[in-house]
Formats: sequence, structure tokens, C-alpha cells
Amino acid sequence: MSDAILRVSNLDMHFGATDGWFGKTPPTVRAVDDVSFEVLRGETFGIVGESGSGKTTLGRCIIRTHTPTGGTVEFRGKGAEPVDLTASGPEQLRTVWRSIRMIFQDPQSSLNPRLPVIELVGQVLRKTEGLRGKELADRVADLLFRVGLRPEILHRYPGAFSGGQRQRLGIARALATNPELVIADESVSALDVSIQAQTLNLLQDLQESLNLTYIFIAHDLAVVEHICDRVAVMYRGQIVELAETGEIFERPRHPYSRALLNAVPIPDPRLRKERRGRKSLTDGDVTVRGCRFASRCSHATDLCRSEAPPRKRIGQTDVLCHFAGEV
Amino acid sequence: MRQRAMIAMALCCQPRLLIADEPTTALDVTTQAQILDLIADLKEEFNMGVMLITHDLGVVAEVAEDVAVMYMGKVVERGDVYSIFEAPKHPYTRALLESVPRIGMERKHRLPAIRGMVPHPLARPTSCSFRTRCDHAIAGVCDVRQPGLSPVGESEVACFLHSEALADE
Repeated sequence: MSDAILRVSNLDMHFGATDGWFGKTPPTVRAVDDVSFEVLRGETFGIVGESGSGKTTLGRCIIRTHTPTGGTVEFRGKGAEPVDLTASGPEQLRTVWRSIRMIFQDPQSSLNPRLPVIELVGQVLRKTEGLRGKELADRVADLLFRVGLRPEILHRYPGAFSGGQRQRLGIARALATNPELVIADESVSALDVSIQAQTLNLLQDLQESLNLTYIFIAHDLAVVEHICDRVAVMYRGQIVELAETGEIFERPRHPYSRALLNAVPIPDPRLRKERRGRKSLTDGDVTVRGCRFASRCSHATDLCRSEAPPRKRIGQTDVLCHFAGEV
Repeated sequence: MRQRAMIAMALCCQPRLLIADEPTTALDVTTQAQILDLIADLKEEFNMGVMLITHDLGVVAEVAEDVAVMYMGKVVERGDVYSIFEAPKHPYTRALLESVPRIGMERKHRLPAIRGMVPHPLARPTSCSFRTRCDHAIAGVCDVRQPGLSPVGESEVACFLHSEALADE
């Protein structure tokens, strides 16, 4: 398990970092700021955070639909030399894009309504492997079977399918090229609970049978705990805590992780009372210097407001907090 | 913030009943907690009833006193929040509760999902509409008659598995 399929080092994605019109410099948004982590082969690596924390941008930097402004993303395909995706040209990226695939958030908008299923799922095979006719139809039918859809639907259009079925189509499309790494960005968030359970089970089955590695981006902590081996918590562009799932959910070290966990509604009415009167997390300004979470943190001191926290290792957890392990 | 503005608009006539349809579904958990606290506070302050429509069972457990579970246009179970969560009676309610991943639950196992999907509204199964996805459907009963909502313990349930419902028909 110790070999890494993906190594992200000091990745930056700053928007608006170029000169603006008339020599004005627009403010820089540090959507991803000095992020480093490794994804191990065969694991499910979770990325959680609120909207605006940079988790989607991070996913897009990995797959290079954004070109990061700094840092490296090293991908090691099976039996292949490591490739730095940030330095790859279009030719090389096309090869890598067969090994790294993405499942998108919104099954409504990520499938072209004017293309039949065979094209939606099989287009990539036509383009990269030159498959045609019956060969293509057979491959697509096989993919549909894998994700639990009937092969007869080959010539139907996405409009004919429910949300859960569309998400399965999205998964089939991601699997078409036999990828090693699949990035799932909020792939079950838009689904009903019963369909969500079916989709999660499907993802787990596919991981086992195809030996896939997942990067699972989500804001639903219960889902993340259920499916992920390790979890990174993002806040305003930084990973503030990274540890094994059990560790993070049992002993969250960063005040933000703790606040996030506290905010999750638990489907048990008996636990309601003790949760009343919890401090809800208020909005806060981004501090320019110091810890980004300081304005919302109940433990913040002058040190937090003036100096950026160091990355510490406490037990098995990496955490970005001055007082990690104390508070 | 926009959701707060919506709540303010809803409250401007001092209503006796506030209907909130998925008020926190698109929000982050932290914002969701704030909005739920806000609705709870306003409920006390204005002394109004709140009808909360949601698919998130966590939110229900957090704020509701009474719960109605709907499937294909019908209430299949109704009861106070404790009965619904601790002693669910309708197979659909039970299956729903089991299919949600919970924090602190055993990890990585397969979730007991409800098989199939909600039928197309125009292809509604005759009699009990849940029977096509129900593991406990009784041939000759569930596909013949439609169960009515009848009292079982503290709740009301529309299901033939509970004999009271059978006797009632």
C-alpha cells in the first residue's frame, strides 16, 4: 500500500495573479495554497471542506483543467515513469487523461443531452482507440453492465434517465479507458439517500474489482467517513488536517475539523439536546497574515492572528495549527 | 445569507405556519447548522408552526417533533420523531433509515440500499405502491389491496405487515 500513485507538492492555484487592466493589480484569490499530499495506490482519499475551500479547484489542478500557478503534481501510472502533470504538454496530457478520469458533480449538466449513450460513454474510445461499429457497441454495453445499467439503452438520450442512472452513466464514462485514478467530485451529493447508497456501493464494488484509486471530493462528512481511507480537511485553500479516517473522526485535532464535525446533523433525535447551544461557526474575515481560521476560531490568540501556523505532526495526524494537540 | 433573506421575507407577515421546503439542502453543514438554529429560535419567538420538507434524515432528527414519511404521493408512516427513528414500522421508513451512512458507524461495509428506484408516476404499481421494492411484500395481499393509514403503537402506518392495518380493511 505504500506506493504513491499521485504526489502533490506545494501546489498553488492563485487566480487573478496577472496584471490587471490599466496597470491595476486585482486582488489575488489563493484558491489552492501550498497544498502537499500523497495518494496511495488502491486507497480512497477524501477531500472535505465547505464551498469555497478550494477542493474542486484542487481536483481540477490535478487533472490539469486548471494550470496551477506553482508546485508539482507527480503521477505514477502502473509500470510507467512518474510524470509531472504541471509540466506536461497537450500530447502527454492526452495519454495521462486515459489513466486519470473524473466523475462530475451534476449528472444533469455533465452529460450532453444531444448525444446518445453510446457516444456519451464511448466517444473517448472512438477517439483514443479508434473503436467503431460493433466493437464500440460491445465495449460500451460491457461498461453499462458493469455499472448496473441495461445494455439496451445504447441508443437512448440522457433525458430518458433518472438522476441515479445518469450518475451511473457518468461512472461508466469515467471507466471507459480503464483508468487507475478516478476523481469523484461530489458525485453522490445530488442524489436521494436510497440512490446515494446504491451509488456508493457501486463505487466500492468497482474499486475492488478494477483495483481503482479514488480521490473523493465531498462536503458530506458521513459519506466521506463511510467510503474513505484517509481524509484531508481543506479550509480556504489549505489542507488544515490530514489523517486516516478513523483518526480524524474520532480525534479531530484542528478546531475547524471539530467545528465541521459538530455541525453535522445526526439522525438520532435523542442526541438533539446535547447539541443545542453548540457554538455555530460564524463567518469571518480572511486574515492576511496569520492563521486563516483565526477569525472564526474560539481558541485564537494574538499569535494566531499574526503568524501563519506551522504544519505539525501529532500522532498520525498532520495538522496546521499553532495549538494543535493542546486545544 | 440569501437563505436568511428568504426567511426574513417569509416572516414579514407574522405567519402562524412556516413551510420550509428543503431550506438547507444546498448549504454547507456549518451554514446549515446556523439556519436550523435560526429557524428553531424564530419558531419559539413567533410561536409559529414549522412544516419542514426535506430528504435529510439528520435534519429531521435535529428539529422535528412529528414526522410524516411519504412515498409516491402517500403518507406511509406518521408518528412522533422518537417512534419514527427508534421504532420505524413501515418497510420503506426502515430501509430509508438504514441506507444513510452515519458518522461513527462501522466503515467500508456495503450500505443496505433500497433496490430499484422510485417508479415513474405514470407507471405506479397498483395497490401498495412500495411493494415492487419491498423485501416483505406478501403475494396475494400487497398486490391486491391498498393499505390505509391505521394506528400501530404510537404511530400510524399504511402497511399490511402490521395486522392492525389488515383488520382495519
